[in-house]
Amino acid sequence: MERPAPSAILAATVTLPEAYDPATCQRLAREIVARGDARLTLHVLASFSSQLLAPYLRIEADRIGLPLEPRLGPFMQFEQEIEAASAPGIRGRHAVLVLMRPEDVDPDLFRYPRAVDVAARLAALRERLLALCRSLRARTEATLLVANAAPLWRSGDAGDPRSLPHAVAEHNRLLAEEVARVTDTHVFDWAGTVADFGASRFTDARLWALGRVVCGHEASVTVARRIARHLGSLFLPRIKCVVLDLDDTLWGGAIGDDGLEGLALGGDYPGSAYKEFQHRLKALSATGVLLAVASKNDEATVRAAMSDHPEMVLRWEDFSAHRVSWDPKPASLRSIARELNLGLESLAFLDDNPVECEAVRAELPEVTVACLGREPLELASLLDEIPGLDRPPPTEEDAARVRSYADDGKRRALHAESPGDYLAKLGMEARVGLAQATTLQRIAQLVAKTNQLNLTTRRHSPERLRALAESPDARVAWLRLKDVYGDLGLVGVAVLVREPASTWRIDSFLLSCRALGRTAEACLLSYLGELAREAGGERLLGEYVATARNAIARDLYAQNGFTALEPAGEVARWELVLGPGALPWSTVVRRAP
Amino acid sequence: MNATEVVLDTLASVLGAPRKSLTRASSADDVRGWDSLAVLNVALALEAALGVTFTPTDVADMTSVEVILEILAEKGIA
Repeated sequence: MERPAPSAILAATVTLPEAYDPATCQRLAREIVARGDARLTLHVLASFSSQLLAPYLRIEADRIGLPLEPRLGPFMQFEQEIEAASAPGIRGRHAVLVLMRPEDVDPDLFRYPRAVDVAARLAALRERLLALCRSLRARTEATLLVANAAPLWRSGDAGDPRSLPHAVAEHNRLLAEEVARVTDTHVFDWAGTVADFGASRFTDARLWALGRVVCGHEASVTVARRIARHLGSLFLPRIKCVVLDLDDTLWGGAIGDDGLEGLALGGDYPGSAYKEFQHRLKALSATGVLLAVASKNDEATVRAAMSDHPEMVLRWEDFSAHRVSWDPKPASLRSIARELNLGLESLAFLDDNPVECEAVRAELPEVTVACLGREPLELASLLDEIPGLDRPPPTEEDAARVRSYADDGKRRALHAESPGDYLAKLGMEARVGLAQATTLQRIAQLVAKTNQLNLTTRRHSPERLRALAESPDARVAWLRLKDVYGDLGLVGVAVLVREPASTWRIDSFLLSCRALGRTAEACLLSYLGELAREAGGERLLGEYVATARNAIARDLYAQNGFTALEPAGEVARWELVLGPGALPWSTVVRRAP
Repeated sequence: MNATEVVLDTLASVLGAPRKSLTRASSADDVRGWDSLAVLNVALALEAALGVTFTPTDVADMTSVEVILEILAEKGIA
């Protein structure tokens, strides 16, 4: 069965989630199992009996559009269960969550906190956790999550370094540092989950006594929701642009009717809620998410409001695209996506008008739609409910990207003047190289999210990419690009794999949409030719796997001198003999040393 | 709805058993999936449905419909 369209999920998600009782929970979960459309397998290795979490995990993951299949191992069987969680074939769409609670594996730590060396006991626990991670990492390409520790116990002065609260805080800090060094391994915030629910009512002592089950119904909902959310941030398409309505969304009231003085923004409620919402959006934009406006208004009025209102946090320039007109919203969204070179699935649309929301849902099911309720107070929490807005920590490239899109406006202006030698005037400069520890994170990002100029769309995991980069029989190459307007950063990635008969196969080849139409592909191909020749290669084999999004890449090999071969199944194949003059570097891009 | 019906409905939806297959005479021995872990879910669901609180001993004893009804009767629910 096909995965429901995002709109079908959103009807249930980007409103605040509904409650369900324990009996309904079991029924809902059975319905999800019957649908059989899980997209992810989650292996849980826990120090308690985690079986009862299964229905909750199914429901909460399904809510955000990531139906999963839970595999819950027997409690306390960490080292033993590694075999099951890393059986052959477990890669890509698999995640392993390690929930090792200190109170379960070392109960004396909490029975006799004054008699034992707390810091040393926690260090030993960390050592065991990291050994588990490394052991899993060595055997599987699954994404790993490790839970930190919740300070459930309430004793001692938190300022006293020997006290439990202090020791656990320090333990979590060190754990985060150490886990960050293991590829594609993340810390699941168990401490935050327990605190979020309320530590004093989190555990149900009866369930623990009867079956080593940690928590009851409501706490299980919270745990599953937080796990699903973390998985969503790792596996769902990321929202790259939030498109906002203005009247009764960014401010209270209608600028056309109420005028500048009549707007509710800042001051008392509801104005305070709108201003706070603008601050949230501004913070979001600082993490690399773009903002855009789609409003039915007069542009001059809106520009004046954004520049003249003293309480306005977001100004005209904070938005990367503006559609202020009487066009239908779906048309505005399409046009924004085109201007920013983004796929519709990377847009989230926020509007207070249910009719507009419905129009967008119906016409553009790929777009995440969040419809605001009556109360402006809900604005901020609604933003929290949008799956795909939780990004991993921004890399340097992210910070540069927002600036780069703004520079795109200037680039287009130049294009309009002199389309003929536009490319030459850009003064482009490209640098190419092989993947190293410092570039692998950005490379993995691009591999995970590039859709358009992506020849094979093979979503190699960060771990797999590292293995390829280190293999003598593979090359992971990158390309960085800059021009007179700014640095576009690392925008191209290719993976070469050695095949028999002096042939190197281009397993992956992709360019960020920011770098399209600039002949950067010729530069990257030229570099691949060099790499293959240096390793004694005589032929390049190119592959193309069609997806719904990559038609733009179909003719890449044909345009660069390759000859078509018989396709192998769904893979179209091309060949190029690396003779003199094959794969020339672009004439409008300077090669940086 | 009387206690017997609530108990049978809850068992059906929590254990995924056909409602018609369950009677006052049903027990852990003849209902598939009624094990020591599932009974925790049954107890939580009954607490939510009837607004009662079970002790761990209550839950450990829940091996048949008859016993569940006796425990509920002790708490004034019939």
